[in-house]
Amino acid sequence: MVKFELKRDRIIARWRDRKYEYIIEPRYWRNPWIGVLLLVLLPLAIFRYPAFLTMFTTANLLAAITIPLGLQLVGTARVNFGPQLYLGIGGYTAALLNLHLGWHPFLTLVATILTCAAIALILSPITWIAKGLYFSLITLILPLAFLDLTFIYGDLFRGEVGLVGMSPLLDLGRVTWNYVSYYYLSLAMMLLYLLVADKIGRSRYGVTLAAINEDEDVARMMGVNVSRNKVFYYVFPSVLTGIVGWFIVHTFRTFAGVTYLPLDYMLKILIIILIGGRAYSYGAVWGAYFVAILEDVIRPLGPVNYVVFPLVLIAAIVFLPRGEGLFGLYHKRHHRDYFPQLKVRRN
Amino acid sequence: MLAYKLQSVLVYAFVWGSIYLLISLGFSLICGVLRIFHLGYGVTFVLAAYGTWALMHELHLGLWPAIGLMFVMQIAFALLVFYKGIFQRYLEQEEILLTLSMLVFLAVTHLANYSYPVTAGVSIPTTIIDGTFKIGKVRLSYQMLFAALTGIGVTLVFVWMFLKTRVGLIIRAMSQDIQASRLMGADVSKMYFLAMALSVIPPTICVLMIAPFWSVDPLMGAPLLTTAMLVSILGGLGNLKGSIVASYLIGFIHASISFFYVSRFMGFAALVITLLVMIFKRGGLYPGETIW
Amino acid sequence: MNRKKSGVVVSVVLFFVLACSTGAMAQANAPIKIGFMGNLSAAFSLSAKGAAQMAVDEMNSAGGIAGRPLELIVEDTKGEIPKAVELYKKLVMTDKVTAVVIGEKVEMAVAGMEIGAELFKEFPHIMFSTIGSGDVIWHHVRDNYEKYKFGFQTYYSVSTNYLNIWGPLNAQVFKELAGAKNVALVYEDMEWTKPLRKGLKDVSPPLKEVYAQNGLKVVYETTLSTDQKMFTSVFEEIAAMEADVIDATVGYIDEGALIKQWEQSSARDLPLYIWGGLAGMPPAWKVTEGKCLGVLVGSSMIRVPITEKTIPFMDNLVGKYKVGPIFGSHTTYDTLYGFKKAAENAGGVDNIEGLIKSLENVEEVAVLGTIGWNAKLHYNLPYPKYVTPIVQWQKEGDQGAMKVIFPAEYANAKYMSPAELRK
Repeated sequence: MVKFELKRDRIIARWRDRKYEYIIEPRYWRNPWIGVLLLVLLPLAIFRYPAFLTMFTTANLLAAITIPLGLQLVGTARVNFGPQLYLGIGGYTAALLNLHLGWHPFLTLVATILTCAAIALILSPITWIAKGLYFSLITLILPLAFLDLTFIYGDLFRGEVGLVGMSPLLDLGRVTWNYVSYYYLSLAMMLLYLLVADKIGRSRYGVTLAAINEDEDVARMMGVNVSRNKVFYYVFPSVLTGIVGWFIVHTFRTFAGVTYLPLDYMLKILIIILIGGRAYSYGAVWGAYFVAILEDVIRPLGPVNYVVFPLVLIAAIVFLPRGEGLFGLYHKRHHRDYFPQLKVRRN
Repeated sequence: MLAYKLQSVLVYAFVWGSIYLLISLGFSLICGVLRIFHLGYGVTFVLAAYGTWALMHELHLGLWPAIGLMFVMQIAFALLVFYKGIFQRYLEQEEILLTLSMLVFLAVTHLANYSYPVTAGVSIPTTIIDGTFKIGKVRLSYQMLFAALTGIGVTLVFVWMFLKTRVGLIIRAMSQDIQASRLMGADVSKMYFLAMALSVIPPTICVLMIAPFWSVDPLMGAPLLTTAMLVSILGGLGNLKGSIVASYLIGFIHASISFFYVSRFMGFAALVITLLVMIFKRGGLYPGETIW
Repeated sequence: MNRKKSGVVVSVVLFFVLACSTGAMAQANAPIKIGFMGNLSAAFSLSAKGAAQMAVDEMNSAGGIAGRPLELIVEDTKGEIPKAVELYKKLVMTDKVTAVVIGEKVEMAVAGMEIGAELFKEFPHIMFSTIGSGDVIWHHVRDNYEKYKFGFQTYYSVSTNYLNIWGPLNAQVFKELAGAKNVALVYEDMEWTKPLRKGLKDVSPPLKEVYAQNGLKVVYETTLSTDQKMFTSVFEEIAAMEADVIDATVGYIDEGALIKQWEQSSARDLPLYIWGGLAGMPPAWKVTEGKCLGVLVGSSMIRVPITEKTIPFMDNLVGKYKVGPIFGSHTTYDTLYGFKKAAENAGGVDNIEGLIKSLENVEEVAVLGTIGWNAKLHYNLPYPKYVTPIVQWQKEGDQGAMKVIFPAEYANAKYMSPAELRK
């Protein structure tokens, strides 16, 4: 039997001999709740404009890829230049099982999780074997090799055309309702990832994360099992990224590696991390929305928008608070906040 | 037939390896001296081709004046945009440095595509001698041979510089231990400047030499950057000796796959072998990021 | 201003930008709206867009369709499937276009078709794919007509028709004009070449067998990767295998490098026949510095009056719309005129089912012959209705020009071997 106690600034839940505290200090939660409310109410303004809904759904998915990447960057103390690998693995797993075996999206989700976890586990030793830049380089090459495989095994992966015709995640009878639902589902996924990342960051696991990121040897000396933690922070975010691939498959109903596996997509994710705020989970949301909206806003410029896009991003990176990005504009950093260093060249 | 294929593999491994060396030399230099994984390196190739074309087409310069002016532009771009604008400012924040480099690369590529798309018919008339000749049973184009010899020549010049000149020794010292070099009185900033300027020479020469048998298009930077990266990664980041060995190794892999199997798998084979070397021989063939 | 206030201001500004943008998207009633989607950083999409705009402008000058003007709404997919999906929805659901023309690679059209199928019941519309020879579009129609009947594919030749029609014709050209007995086959490793490499079940054997059935021996066969840059080894092997002609089923690989390295290899005297792409575009001469001399291509970018529309189309596209007539432009232009005729036959565009039936039966004079679509399978009527001549790059003064060598009725030059041309 769980007992709740309401205090002035917290809720305390007691279960058996365990005690859980949840801060409800308004100052702490007010702005996030306002932000969530705005995102929840957004479809009311734009549900007649499905292109915008799709744009924001894509923004949510980009954020959902970037949030676990932030965890991974800090938890493994390495910069992963190929997070899209697991997007591809998750997407193709779900698509192939759905198309060829007729598996329901729920079953393909389970399969996606297991497949991404297995492959990530097999590849996880590179987090402690590959020193410095080499981890980044290995992760840079892996998606490119996978992309080539989708052409080599064209009978299975269908090359540049990709896989099409997968089952939708849900069907509410009207396409507008479907697209609104996809938006809310993507929002829920993003918020769930945000909550998980936030919880990890604020818990003692967050301290472990910070310790590993700052100095692995010192962390080891303090009793942290660095290798085990690194494996966890490599596998867990990879699975979360794979789930995004599964979501794409069952909402866009088409999946081709040529869109998600090349370096261009990696660059987009890296930009989101930097523009949003380096490795801040909340920054990923800001960054994703910024990039998604920017792309659409400059599209009417015509072909010159391809030149304007990187220039605007360069300006944003240069002029935003260094490393803190858009989130740094909003969030006043307290001296106790952990502001991770992302060292690409780390030994 | 077997003899012919073996001869072909040897000849083309040498020729292609030399060309890959020319492609990757500048990249290795930046990795080894500035310790920067220059993801914007592809810009050099695009600027070399389109800079020359723009100068010839818009200012109606002849080929050689255009090439000379383009070299000046390249060095200025590398120093002002990359070195002063990005590397110096963000040396401690490598993730920003890498992202900005890639964004600059993207901007220049799309500018070239916007200004001179494929339909503009861009070409660089740098054929030295047209035609082909035979080495044993193997036919080779003169231009490819010249490109290969140029690759070797430029590499020898760089090796001579690093081994025999004072400037080269200072650069080597800096790549081994920057702090000690400073203590010994090396003007680090000036040497970085010089290294950055030197790094654009090989890729620029490369584009001029390979334009007669390679495509010149706005997106040419990306595959050339990938080749440079693979060679540097395989050889050992920033190590010139490693780059030399890795270039010929990749040339050999490409030639063998091409003549003995299916050329489609050339790129994939090189990727896989690079991955395996990185995993099992950490640091590449010559680990330890020193230029020589 | 402190950071929190800055954040609030940024949020409010973003909200207003959004509101203004949505406010601007009002729905018009009178014009017939045509949506165009393409990757506007790619030359072929820009050319197709120019052709679409030209068709719409011409139709409006002539009174529109059944008295209604046309409006072209252009969107840039940036070559990304999520963007293509987003824009397809916008065009169909928000802009309420009657037809979506997808002027880019076939995988975008495939993604669009999937969304289109989802939307069709509530938002009836037509989809045209005008670039890309892959068979996926019409396979969808064949396999599930009710779901995909709104989709139509126009291209110079879809892969199946290439096997059934152009395979034997190519063999005829190779044998009669080039005197070939042995052929080397080179494919780019992409999905669209798979039917030619592996054949189509119950439809056609692979190209290799088609050639064998037509008296040619295939002595060499290989695939190329789309990011490959070194092709010399392939040409050396082809020469060693004593092929008489090289049939390169490529369109997206680096054709500039391919042609340059062919010219500098042992195979330089063997005729090189290329399916399409850069080799069939006027700038190919400059891009390859004249090394494409002797290359054969399936190309429509030549000033040969296949119909009374051909020459004006080319001249106006270049002169008024400043784009070259490269691949995708003819098919887009002809598609829209076919759509116009079908709409007039159907009495308007309000009844999409009727319009679909009309499209399945229409025939209209086109730039490249006659445009119309197979009633059951929805690919455009193939040769001889729709003509893509085989051209050869030959010298014209100091420059090179593509000369038609097949079919004979449009030929303006005779085939010459590359060696002869170089003399």
